[in-house]
Amino acid sequence: MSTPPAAVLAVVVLATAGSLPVVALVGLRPVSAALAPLAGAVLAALAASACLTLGGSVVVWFVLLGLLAAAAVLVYWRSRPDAGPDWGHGPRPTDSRLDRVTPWLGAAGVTVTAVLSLSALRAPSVGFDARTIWLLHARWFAAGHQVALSALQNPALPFAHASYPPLIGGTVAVSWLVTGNRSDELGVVLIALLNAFAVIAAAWSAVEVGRRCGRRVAAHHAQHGTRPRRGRLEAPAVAGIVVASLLVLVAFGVAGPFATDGYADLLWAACATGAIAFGLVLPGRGPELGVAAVLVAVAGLTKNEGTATAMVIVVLIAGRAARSARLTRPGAAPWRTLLAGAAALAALGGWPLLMLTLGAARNVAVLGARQGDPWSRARLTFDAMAGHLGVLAVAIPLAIVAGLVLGRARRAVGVGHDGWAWAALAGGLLLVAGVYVTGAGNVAFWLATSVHRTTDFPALCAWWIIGTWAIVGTAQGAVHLTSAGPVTVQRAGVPAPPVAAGPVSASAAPPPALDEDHTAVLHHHP
Amino acid sequence: MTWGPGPDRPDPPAPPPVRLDRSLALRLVGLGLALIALGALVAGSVHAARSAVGRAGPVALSSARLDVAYYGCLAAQTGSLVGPGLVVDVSTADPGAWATLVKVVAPRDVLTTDEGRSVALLTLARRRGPGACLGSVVVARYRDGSVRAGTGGSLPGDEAPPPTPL
Repeated sequence: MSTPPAAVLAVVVLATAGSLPVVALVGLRPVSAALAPLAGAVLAALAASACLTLGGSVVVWFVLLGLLAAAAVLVYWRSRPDAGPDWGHGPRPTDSRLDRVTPWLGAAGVTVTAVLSLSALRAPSVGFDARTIWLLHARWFAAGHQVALSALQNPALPFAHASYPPLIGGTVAVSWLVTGNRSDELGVVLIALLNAFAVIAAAWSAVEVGRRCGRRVAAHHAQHGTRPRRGRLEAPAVAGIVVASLLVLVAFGVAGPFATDGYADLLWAACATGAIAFGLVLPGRGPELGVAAVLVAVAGLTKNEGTATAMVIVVLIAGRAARSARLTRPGAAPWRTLLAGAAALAALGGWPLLMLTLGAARNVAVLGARQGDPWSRARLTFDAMAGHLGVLAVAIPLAIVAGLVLGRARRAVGVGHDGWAWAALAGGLLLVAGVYVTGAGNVAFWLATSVHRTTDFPALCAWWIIGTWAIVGTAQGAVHLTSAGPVTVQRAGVPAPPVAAGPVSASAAPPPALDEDHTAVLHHHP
Repeated sequence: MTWGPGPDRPDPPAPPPVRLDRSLALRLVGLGLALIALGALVAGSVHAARSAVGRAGPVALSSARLDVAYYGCLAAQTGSLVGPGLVVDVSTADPGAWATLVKVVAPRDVLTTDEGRSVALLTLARRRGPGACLGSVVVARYRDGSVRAGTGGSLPGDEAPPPTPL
């Protein structure tokens, strides 16, 4: 089987395995299409772990785990009919035309920009790490338990990073075994497609933010009985679609050639960014929490820095949820939230623990004894990272000014506080910088060969922060009255409050007071 | 496909009352900040799109093909010297050659640094002419002292193989 049909078949197999768990967690939403293959990749990672520890073939484990996951979902739905699959709903009479087309426009926007970004696959090159790490791990898993275990413990290939998490190796191994095409090219194309699915899923958060802002602007007008100018209600949703499409392009630009030559840095960075967007910027409950969970799992099972960053994100999401729970029910300890967070941390720590248990060869990023004192290493690290984080020169002042001027509007339109995203960005950045400063070898060489990739996550995070402010600013700018009158604007899911009879104007009838307590629960500061 | 609750599921609770400031100054500042943010995103996107298109151009295409052919050539030569799954050592005398050769050997053989365990020590030697891979050939030194050069792969030319970005 040649590479293009093999890649399509591999994605279909992954998506099939991941579809039911994703529908159970997220429902049948546009973002589910991008999440399904990513969830399938998580199953492939678990299959690789089982192959390594228990024996057997990775593809047999993949099928077994896929069936087990599907059965678990079906049993759950059967035992709790109220928690059955969320199939969405048909068009409602109250849905505006944009409400109906937003998903399609958003899907078209991110798909077109992703396809454009993947055009580099016309010349699929195989990167250094792709050969020495990712495709090599895939060959170990494809060869089975004995080969994988002995290769994992072999110290003769120091740059193989044998103990890296198994998502890429397991996924590529499954694709090779399922399609019969064991070429490097298929591996590279599949990793690039996973990168694209991760970027699309993360970018979809902008569509959701835009939609949420549009509804809140509509609710604002409904509440005040005012008539917006033509197109103002739709502006935030349109901004969300535009921002999502641009973020896809920007994400591939941040990763550069490493987005399509078999590297996995964009995969975990985009997933971590998406997890922040869905878990910390959007309300982080229900389907949004489900999206964040899938993305955290992918980030945590892809690379070591992804695992560490995923742990930071889990702590922040759990902290936010626990704080919300305490505000909602003062006096009650949020044990369920804390236990869920602890379980997620334990799951993320499972692979590193397994590597210690199995005696995996040590990760060696650079050879040789440690050079330089902590201060000189820190200075070199700062200089090197700054060269790839120019976006922060825009994001930081924009966030400060926008936070001061538009902070209230951000709360009013239902978008989480900016500080959560900045906390996650800083946590991930400091973790990576700390490894450079405290690690071994010549840090200058180490930085020269890796910092452009290890800064993907903070760069993407900063771009997402910029995009979110673009949507919030549009929503604030969309609040404009042409004429006062007894107008009720009602949108899907936003029941219009009663409006006083007779002419209503902003000055004549002051708006109802903002429910500050309720808003504080949803959008409290970190 | 639409968002929202299922047919058998109640609507989510109504959002809390909202109050967006309607002052002209704030609306203008909001739009201004949105325009700045969108401008930055557009600039970043244009740069990214140009790079992506450039990476799909004819130069990149020929470079990628040459890279694949080079490693395919080395893999064929290695295959003519040692069977798959054997324990081999790769010479570290030239770190560059070592880094290139381990990428070929590691996926098919078991690498070791223990000379006593390996069936052969592989090196990458410079050689011009037919039977070489861009001016290099894989050479095996076996435990019995015999030395053989790899066969089965040939890539004419003396130019350096395409650089692999790290």
